[in-house]
Amino acid sequence: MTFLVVKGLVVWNEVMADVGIDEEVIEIEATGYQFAWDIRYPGPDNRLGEKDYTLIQLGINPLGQNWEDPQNHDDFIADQIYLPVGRKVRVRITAKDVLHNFYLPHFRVKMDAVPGLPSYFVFTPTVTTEDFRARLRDNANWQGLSDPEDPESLQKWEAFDYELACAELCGKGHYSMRKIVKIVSEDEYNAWLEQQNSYYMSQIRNTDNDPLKGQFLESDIKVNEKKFFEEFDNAMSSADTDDIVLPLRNINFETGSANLTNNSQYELNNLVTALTKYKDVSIELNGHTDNVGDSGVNQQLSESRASTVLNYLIDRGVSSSRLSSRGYGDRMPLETNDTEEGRMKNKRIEFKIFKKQTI
Amino acid sequence: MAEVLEYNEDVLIKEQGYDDHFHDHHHGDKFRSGFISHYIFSMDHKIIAKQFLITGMIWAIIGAAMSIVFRMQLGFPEDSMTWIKPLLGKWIVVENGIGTLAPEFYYALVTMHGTILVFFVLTAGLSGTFSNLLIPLQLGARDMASPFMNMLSYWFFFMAGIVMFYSLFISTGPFAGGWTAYPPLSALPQASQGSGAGMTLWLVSLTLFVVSVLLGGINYITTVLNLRTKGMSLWRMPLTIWAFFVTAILGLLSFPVLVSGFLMLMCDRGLGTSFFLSEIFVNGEALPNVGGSPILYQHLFWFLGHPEVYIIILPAMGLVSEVLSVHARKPIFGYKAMVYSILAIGFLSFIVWAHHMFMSGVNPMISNFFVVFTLIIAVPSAVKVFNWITTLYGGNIRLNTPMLFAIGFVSMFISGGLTGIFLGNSAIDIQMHDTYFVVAHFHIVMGVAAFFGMFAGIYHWFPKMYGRFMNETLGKIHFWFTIVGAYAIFWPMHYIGMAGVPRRYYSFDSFDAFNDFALMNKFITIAAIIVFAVQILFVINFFYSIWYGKKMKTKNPWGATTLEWTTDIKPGHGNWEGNLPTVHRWAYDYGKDGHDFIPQYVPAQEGEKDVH
Amino acid sequence: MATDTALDHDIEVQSGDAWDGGKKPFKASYGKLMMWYFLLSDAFTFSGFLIAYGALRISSPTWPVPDFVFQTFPGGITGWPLIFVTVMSFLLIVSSVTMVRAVQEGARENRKGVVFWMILTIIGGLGFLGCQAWEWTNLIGHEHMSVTTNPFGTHVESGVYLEDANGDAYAAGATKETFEAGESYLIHKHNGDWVQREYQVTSGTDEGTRMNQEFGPKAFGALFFFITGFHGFHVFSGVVFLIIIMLNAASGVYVERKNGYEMVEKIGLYWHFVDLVWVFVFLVFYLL
Repeated sequence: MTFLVVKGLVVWNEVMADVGIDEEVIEIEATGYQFAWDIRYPGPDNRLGEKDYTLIQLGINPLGQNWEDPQNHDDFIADQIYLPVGRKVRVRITAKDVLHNFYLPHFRVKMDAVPGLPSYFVFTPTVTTEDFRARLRDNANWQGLSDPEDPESLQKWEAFDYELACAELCGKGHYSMRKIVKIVSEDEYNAWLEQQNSYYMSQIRNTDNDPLKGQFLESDIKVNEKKFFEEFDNAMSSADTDDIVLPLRNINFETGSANLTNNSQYELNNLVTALTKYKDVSIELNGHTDNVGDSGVNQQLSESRASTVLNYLIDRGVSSSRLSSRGYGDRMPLETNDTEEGRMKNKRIEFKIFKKQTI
Repeated sequence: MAEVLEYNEDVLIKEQGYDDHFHDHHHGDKFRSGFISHYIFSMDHKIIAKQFLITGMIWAIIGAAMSIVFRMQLGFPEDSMTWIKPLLGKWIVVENGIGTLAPEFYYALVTMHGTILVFFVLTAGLSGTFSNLLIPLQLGARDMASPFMNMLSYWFFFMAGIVMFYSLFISTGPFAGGWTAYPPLSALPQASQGSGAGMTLWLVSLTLFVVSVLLGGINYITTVLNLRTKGMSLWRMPLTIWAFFVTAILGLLSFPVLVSGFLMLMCDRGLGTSFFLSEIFVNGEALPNVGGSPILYQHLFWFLGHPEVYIIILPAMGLVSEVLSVHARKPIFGYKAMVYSILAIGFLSFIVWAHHMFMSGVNPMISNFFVVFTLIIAVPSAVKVFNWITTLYGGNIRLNTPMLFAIGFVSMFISGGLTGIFLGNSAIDIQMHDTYFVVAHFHIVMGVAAFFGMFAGIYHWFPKMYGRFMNETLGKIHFWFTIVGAYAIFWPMHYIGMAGVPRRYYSFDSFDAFNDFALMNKFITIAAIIVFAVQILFVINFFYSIWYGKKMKTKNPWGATTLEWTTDIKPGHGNWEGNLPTVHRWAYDYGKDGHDFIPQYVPAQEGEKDVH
Repeated sequence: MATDTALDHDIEVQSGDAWDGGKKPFKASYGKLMMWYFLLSDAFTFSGFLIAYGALRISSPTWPVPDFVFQTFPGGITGWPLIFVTVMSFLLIVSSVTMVRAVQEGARENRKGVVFWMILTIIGGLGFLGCQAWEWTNLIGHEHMSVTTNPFGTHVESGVYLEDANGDAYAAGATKETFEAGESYLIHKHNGDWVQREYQVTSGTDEGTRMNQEFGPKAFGALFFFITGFHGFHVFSGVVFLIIIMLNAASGVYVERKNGYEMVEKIGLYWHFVDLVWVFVFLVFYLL
């Protein structure tokens, strides 16, 4: 009896222990609702983003993820639980409406899902679905067709799957909250992860439901920054002594004016950094427009836009002696002005690099 | 049979009895004035006991019939249930000519089955009946301390029953969220049909029921303390009284906490408060409630809920102790140990409630304490079991129906108790929680066992209640079918549960893991139907025997020592015609000094000491 | 309750051990014992509530400070923390004292004395209820607290308000109001709309960010009305019973009873219990 108690408690505390802070673990989230489960994966950053139940919109934001949290941007919702064998898994368990219970009968995993109070369960899958099927192959109970009415169906043991169920009465559909659990090898798991699309990127990004519509995400900023410096560094290291013209991408002005939009600061700051790095370089900023409207106005606009950028750089501490600006109006289109796409490309700011020269 | 000493109790009580001046106040029995005041609004504890018993039996039949209906759905999901449609109406959904139970009604039936059996049958029907019948009779009192409150207690129970019964017939159906009524499901009509009007009625009904239990409990405790007859010291009380006494204390302390939970739940439902609700999105709408905790309700509920289990089983234990001792013609073994274990169980039952909540998302650390306390309960329980068995050992056993049921109780209690040790262990509970293992465990240990205690009590005290005996042959058939049938129902459930099949599933079709037990489910259902049919036999026997049973010829047919057998065969209100008997010895002087038994009112012989 | 005496358990006091049977071990009549058990179970109901209160309060970091919430006094006076509730509690406690006197007079079989002291007790009870009614009216009508909305919040960081109490920008040159962490605030209603004033945090990790006043934990309002309401209901029923028993006493019903003024004793027990519960309610809601 004493043995039972002591041993039982030791096991209990082992099983229920949370993961350590730095422990490597896959954290997924299961959300129960009437009458199904939603499984959310953290995506490449391994972090689940914030949620707020007031943000839930059926069909649009089923879990109430807060899109302003960048950790949400790579999260995805999977239709099955896929887990690699032998890796520690922490399931964060929540519920939307009433109590549910995250129950994996084959794994001896069970924990209530309580709305408003997330719980967790940590476990490590040890046998892949395939291996388990192989074990059942010789078991007499698992022979025969899995669907007796379909002669082409798989054998029972071949059709075996781990399952997720609900074990806390949650309403009339309580008995039907099934999800399939697949335990696979590390490689298959990674391949599967590759195929998954971030819910935010595929469903939400730049739609009306995106609070960040039109803004750069951190990931975009990083990509742009990398591209900018690659080009700039290339230009500086090339043996070519001609003046090189580079585009300033992602610089936008409010329509018909010379006011910079908020998004433009990233590229301009990159330029500031580059100019701080290469101290003996000076540049000339060139403004261009498309051919819509009066060309005199366009000329003026291109000049004032170029000088807005110039002033921005001066404000950030670049010496005005290294800077100059010029407007070209609509005279130097990159592409045809007949298409919307072409016109977008023609509206631009470029800069010309003068190496080791002064104007 | 050993030599039976004939005691002339009338002489003893008349000459040595204890005059409480009863007849100074009561010239003639004014309570026999008319049918209504005698049988309906009676204040006589014996009539109230019968009222509790018969109401409890009616509820038992309703509750058990419900279980048969949902067992049929589980056991024979493919077979049509259209034949029951005239009774259940829209709750039978007919598709392609096959009628099945609607899932929401399945859950409503499961919920009602639990509520009715736990509260109405095994609390009111068991403790209400026998506390009322035996406390005054065995203590040598004229009636309860307050007969009026005692009557109110029954009528509150009756009203609770009426409200619950009414809820069965409303269009949205009765409450369907499990007898534990966990919020948010029980708080949100959006989440479940039954959580609307059905839940409101459920709460009203149970609140009335709690009033009934409190009125009764206050009465029982006061009676036991204040109205014992002369010489009836605490250590001379029969174990039945000890059990009822502790039961009443448990009820008195735990039910109010349940009421506090219920009141908060009502506010959450009606006034929009957030005691138990937080961050809920239901039916396409985010509710404004934040900051509540559904787990708080579970704490409040199980603070009642666990003592409630003992409120059910302790009276059965008391009855069985008495029946075993009388029919084994032996003193109960370890009387004081029995009393102390009742007290220990009563005390421990208050500090183990969270073992129902290992898997509910509370801090796993807390569970450690509750595991230890829970498993400590095994000690007093084991003491009782060993004492019962030792009482039987070497006894001059009469294998009549009450004795069979008492022995059956011990068997059931052992089987159910052992599985309890597994469930109390939190590590094993991860797998067993909310599976059929739990269902099997609590049905055996507090369902069937408590019923066995109740049956033992009914067969044993039926002559006291109605002046006639119940039919022995029918009784034995009843026993054998019931014990074999009960094991046939619940034994397979252990296997199903160990395989991980969760309880409260309307259908196992959607899961491969749970769908392997169709055959066992059929078997269980058939066994359940047979057991149910046998209970009907019992009911027939009961009512037949009231009018046509073998008449009781002597006052003390079982040769028992306790005071209830010294009254007239059909005692009037006030119980003893003349003086109250005086008590000179404990309740278990069987086989002493060459006598088969020595009743409690017999004065001590020279040099004789109290045994215990 | 008069029917209780239909069967009279008049048991004589005898020698020997008190628990031997045939006598009252606590030397108390069954009626008084029953009142004790009722109070015991009622105490458990209140414990249930107070435990719920504790659990919900601990889980909320922004529980309003009672000194701030309960600082109003009739006549439009504010800034008197807990003075009003002290008056209320004083009334109730004094009524307990007068109840003791009534019971004493009952033991002396002094009818007039019983009635006199009971009337004083009833006045105390009614006074308490009146005070509670005023407090509720003030909270509901004036400060717009309800079981679902709690306009009393608490700052977790220090800061400075950017808007005045009506939610408008500060007039030029006006001193901006500042606050410390842990200070409570009341969100007012201005022209029917809640004014959640904007402020800038000046301490902690969020220093510099601008925020708006948030509503306090909903549980505060719900628990306050629920628990004080449940207690108030007890006081109310107590007053009703007091009146009934006072009238009985006045009309001389108890003069003829064998147990004399025991009903006065029983209602006295109840009244002291209600008083005692108030001490706990007072402790958790107003002092902690």
